[in-house]
Amino acid sequence: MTGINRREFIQRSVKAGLVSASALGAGWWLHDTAPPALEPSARALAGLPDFSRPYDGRPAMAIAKGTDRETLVMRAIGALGGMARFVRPGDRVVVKVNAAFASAPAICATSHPELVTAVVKACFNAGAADVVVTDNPINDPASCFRLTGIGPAAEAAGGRVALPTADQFAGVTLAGARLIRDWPVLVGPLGDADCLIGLAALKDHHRSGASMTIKNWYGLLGGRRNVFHQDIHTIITELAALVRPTLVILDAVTAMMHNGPTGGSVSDLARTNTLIAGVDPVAVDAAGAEILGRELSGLPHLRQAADAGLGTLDYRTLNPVNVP
Amino acid sequence: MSLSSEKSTITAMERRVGFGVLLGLAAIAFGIYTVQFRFNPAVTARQTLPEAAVAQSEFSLADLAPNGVAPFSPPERFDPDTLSDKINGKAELYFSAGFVALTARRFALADDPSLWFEIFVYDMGTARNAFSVFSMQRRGDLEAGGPTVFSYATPNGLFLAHGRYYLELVGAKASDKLMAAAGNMATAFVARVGGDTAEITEMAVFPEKGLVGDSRSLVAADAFGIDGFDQVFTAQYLNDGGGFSAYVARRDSDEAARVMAATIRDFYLEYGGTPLDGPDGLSVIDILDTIEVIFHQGRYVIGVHEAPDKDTALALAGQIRQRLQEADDDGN
Repeated sequence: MTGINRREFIQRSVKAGLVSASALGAGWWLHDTAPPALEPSARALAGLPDFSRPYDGRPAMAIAKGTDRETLVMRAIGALGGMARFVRPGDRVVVKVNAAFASAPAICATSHPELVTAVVKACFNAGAADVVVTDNPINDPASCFRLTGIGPAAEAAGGRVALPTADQFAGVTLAGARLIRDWPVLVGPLGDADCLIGLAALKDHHRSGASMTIKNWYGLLGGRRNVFHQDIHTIITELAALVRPTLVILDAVTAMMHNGPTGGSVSDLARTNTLIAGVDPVAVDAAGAEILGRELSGLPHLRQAADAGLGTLDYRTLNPVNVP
Repeated sequence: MSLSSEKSTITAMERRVGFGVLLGLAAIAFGIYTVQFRFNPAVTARQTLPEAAVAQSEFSLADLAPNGVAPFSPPERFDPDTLSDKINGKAELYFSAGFVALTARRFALADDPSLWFEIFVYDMGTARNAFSVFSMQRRGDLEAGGPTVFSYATPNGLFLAHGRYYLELVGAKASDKLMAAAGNMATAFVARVGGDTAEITEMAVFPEKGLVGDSRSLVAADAFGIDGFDQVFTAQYLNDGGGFSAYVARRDSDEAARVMAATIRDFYLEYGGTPLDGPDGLSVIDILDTIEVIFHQGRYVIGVHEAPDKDTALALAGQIRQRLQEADDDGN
């Protein structure tokens, strides 16, 4: 720099110093020393326990046809080798139902109470020491379990209903996941469980195209999970990786063909008279998609899950047992 | 040193460095401004069990309950931030149509509490928006009827659009007694609110001849797969057993309507359509052996979609144009 004398240099230096000091002071003054409060989870869990059973050569999937849910589920599970294949004497079983909405069973937006009763009974008959029925519903949990009939049905069969309370959630991170990272998950009921059974209803879904057994795990998420609706197929794929169940059951006796996931009218429903049980949720959902009349191209989460090695998209290659 | 003399001492290099520093600071400021909106939802949204909001509507739904019907649950009210807490994945359907608020409450018959229904009152802001969600969710096998022009009943539900509101009354069972009570409550709601939605111009311009009953609907966004073609009224027509449709959409200005009509025309041409001769101002396109007619009139974009032949398409387009003229409504 040329043409500057000592006095000007000092004046400019002082001005620059004042500006810098003002900026630093403003930053210090505006600094928020109280960060947002977090849930009391000191450290995110690395995934969930794997509840799946090693492949033992027995059928991976059964498709039962009929109208009576209790009969169908017993036939389907029987075709897979009986509930004893999945539940050992003394096991603690968690049944993850779909109790998302406080709606009546006739709407078929939630797991049907008759099916809940049948599955809980079957678990006890296989020697389960405890059967917990749980979900983190969209609406008020107590109302959901009561009005759907799921709560009374579970308790009538000897099961326990575990309503989601804040202390039952913990942050969970799925390795390699984009969305499930230190996200609150309903882990409390799973903590000392030996078996996890998913009990889903076959439904249309406005965002994901269909709601089946994998989408049912969405009910394990806490927090403002609706943000995931903007990336619904990714979150369902990640749920397929996060949750490795012992058994999944898809109730397609009456399917919600339109206006899902809430429905609201019995005219949204169709008698599809099918119940599918299996150990491969991707395969079970692929079969469910057919019943719902959905192309797999419209359900990218299924292909993504299959590509990730989480299941079989072409369910017929599993040679499902067709139960009349 | 005077200001002018000081300027003269600044070299070109200093000026470039100065601008470079300023640009760097501007880039940093822009980056901070952008990043601040990217909240990590796992940190900022970890309310595990939010309480349902308390109803704050201007009138109480309980006041509308007919004799023999009593509240069965507390009132609930949801806004765009909380609607997903009530209807989960279907919320986006309402968001795309201008959702404002939802008030809901369950009611039961006093002499049989197992017979209950839930009333959902969606405030959609405008009658157009209310009709949009009504038409997009309209069920098949419906029974016409109800207290408004746009309403229908199913064995366990009553669905209607009324003014800025879209209502669902969903029964726990398919019960005539229950649905009669729900119907009475819907009628009371309509009486309380007053007005109706039948004054929407676009609804009145579809000719009745060949019109499929109850087929008029409002597509909120991206009609026919065309980006930006929103708020489009459509109606289905039958001609010698074949089906086709007509559409009418109002834009903000004559120019916007002209641009939209051109966009639609280009869309079909881009996907393999062949332009045909037609009257002045009307685009006629043959695509996959069906005919598209597109034109604009004032602020309205009008079209006939997948018509079986050119004459049929032009005839229907002409009737709609005439109806708009008769309505003396150019949208302005």
